[in-house]
Amino acid sequence: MNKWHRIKMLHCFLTTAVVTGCASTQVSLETDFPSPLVEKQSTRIAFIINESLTDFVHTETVEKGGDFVIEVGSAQRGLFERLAAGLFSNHTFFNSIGDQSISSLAIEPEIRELQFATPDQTRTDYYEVWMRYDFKLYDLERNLTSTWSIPAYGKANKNNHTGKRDGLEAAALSACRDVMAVFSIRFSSEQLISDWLNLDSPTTQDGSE
Amino acid sequence: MKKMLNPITLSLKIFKTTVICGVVLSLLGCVSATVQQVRERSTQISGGETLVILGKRNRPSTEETEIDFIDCVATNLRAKKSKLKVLNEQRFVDRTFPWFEPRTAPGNMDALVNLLDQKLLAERLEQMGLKYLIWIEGQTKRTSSGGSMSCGITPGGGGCFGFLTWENDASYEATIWDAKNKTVAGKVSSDAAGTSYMPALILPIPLVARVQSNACFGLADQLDTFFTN
Repeated sequence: MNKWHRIKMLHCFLTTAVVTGCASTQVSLETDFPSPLVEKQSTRIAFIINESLTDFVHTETVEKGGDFVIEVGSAQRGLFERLAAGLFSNHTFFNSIGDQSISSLAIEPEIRELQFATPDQTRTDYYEVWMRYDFKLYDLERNLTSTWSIPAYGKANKNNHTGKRDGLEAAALSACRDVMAVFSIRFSSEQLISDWLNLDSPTTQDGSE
Repeated sequence: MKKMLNPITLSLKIFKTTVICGVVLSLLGCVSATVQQVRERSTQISGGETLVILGKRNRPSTEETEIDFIDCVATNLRAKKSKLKVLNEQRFVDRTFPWFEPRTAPGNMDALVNLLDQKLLAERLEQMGLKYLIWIEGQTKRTSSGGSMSCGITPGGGGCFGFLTWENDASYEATIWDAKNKTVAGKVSSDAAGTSYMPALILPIPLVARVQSNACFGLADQLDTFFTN
């Protein structure tokens, strides 16, 4: 190996190191979710999965940490399809609450915010992701009646993952599973939901008790 | 007259000797391990029955057992002569979703008893033939480190010089729940500590004490004994 060749290799090594060090961390959730093992609800429900949910991307620049792009939107359709399949015996999906063919109670999930932390920031061993979901509840006339908020949290031990991308992906996945778990367990006991489901009962529709 | 070795051949010989010594030292290991067992109930597992090993990841605890440690114990337990049927952790958590997620997993035996009131979950566990749930908690931590090493790179070549040492401590405890009789069957703990070294003369040579592996092998052996004796 001549001297010129060695200099070229060193240059290549340093360039790679600098480029890798400054590159952004791109996290994308492409995974399958399990269906919840709970008693199915018989009420007919319309799930509204709109573009703002499926296109949700969180971008943030962390001082001395670079740029982070966390795409959780791509996993949302699969998440809610699995959730609905486990929780409701009669459900349909729509892209917008404006769809005239919706004839049942409708629920529209929305990611209101996402925050994350890396082990470098918190000086712990964990990647962490916090998400807040808002579930907008619509009556039979597609009027917004109330909003059910669910905070979700996921973390991943840095020792189980190779790098920031893998760690944040695992933490975000854990947060998504967390929201599914809370939704499926609390759906049958939450007062807000009971009141909303009552809007579908025949007595309420007739206006008589 | 004895033949003189040229500097390159001499360096190669030193390097080879160092590597061989390193491999030998790393094989010898520098780990001390302790395994303990507390039995509360007799255990019996028949042909169709299974067990699952789960890492304790309950909220709001900040500690999490390493996934590869759980895999290691499960793999070693499956490989024993007794051929215990150990379910895959992730598959178990998916098939019982959402009841064994960090937020919802039972933290004690009473919570499991309450959880088994869920008819669908109880049926699913019955289908899986689940007899024992083993919760593992603990971690491997670096307790001390010392030494220094410096590395350099130039167009003419590069290398490192120095000596590093660090000590790891692994401490794990497995709690065994009898899911059919709804009782705690016992506890098994495995502790290991060891010092690793990394001398560097041009190339750094890590002589790693396999602390976590030792704790894993010790725990798997003891769990096998727990179920078969």
